[in-house]
Amino acid sequence: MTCRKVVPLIDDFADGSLDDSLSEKIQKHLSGCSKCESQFGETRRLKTLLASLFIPEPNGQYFRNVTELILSRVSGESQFHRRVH
Amino acid sequence: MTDQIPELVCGFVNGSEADFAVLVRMFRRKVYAGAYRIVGNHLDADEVVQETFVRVYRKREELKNVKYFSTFLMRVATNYAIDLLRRQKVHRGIDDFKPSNFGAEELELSKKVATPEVEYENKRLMEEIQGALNKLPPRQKITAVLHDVDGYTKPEIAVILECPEATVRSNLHIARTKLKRILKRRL
Repeated sequence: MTCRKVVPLIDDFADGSLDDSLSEKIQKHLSGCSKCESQFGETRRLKTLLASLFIPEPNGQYFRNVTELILSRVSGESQFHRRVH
Repeated sequence: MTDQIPELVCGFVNGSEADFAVLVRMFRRKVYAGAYRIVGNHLDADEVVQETFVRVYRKREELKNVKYFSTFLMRVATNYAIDLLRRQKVHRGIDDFKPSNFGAEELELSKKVATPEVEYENKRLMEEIQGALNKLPPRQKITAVLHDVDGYTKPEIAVILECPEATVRSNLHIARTKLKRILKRRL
């Protein structure tokens, strides 16, 4: 495979969404092409970095409070939105 | 627990508030986490959580034709988050990202971290990633978050965002290209 054919498939290859035969061809190309290999490496590292993004756990009572508020809103069909902390 | 979902959805559609309450309890963390990653702070994530479940409650008739409750729920949440971002014209970068968004809450979550130095570095990294995501236009940001952070597949994202799969692929590719440039020193 040539770089022109491989480059548009690097995202899918990094996502593991290509079939085995195509993946094998790309892998073979990457092992002999430092430019495409470097692009693939960046994509893979970016995916790892994004996957590490965590979110803070809200305060202890948050989920219970917001659930009560949602249920009270739909039961009264109130149009008002209140903040829950 | 997940095998109860169709039954709960059916009960909810037929007017059971108790089943709706169970669904809220089952999915509230998932909606909050998805919303937080998109909007980047607790107050807006809270608004998305509330509005999402209230809207789902009002749209319950539509659930009769929905295959996966979870996908439907995330579509409502994502659409609301997009509207919220647009309303606020949020295109915050790293420089004007409010540190208050990443303060005590994040540190509380970093209980596993052994030393203050690692904790500090971890917090900075999270700020940097969130800051980079905040520089993207809403649809690119949401596509990247759903795919690379939350682990949704491209076909699932196409359903959530109600767009062709080709658009998802294109937005993901553009988002990644921009993120690689912004986060270059981390890659």
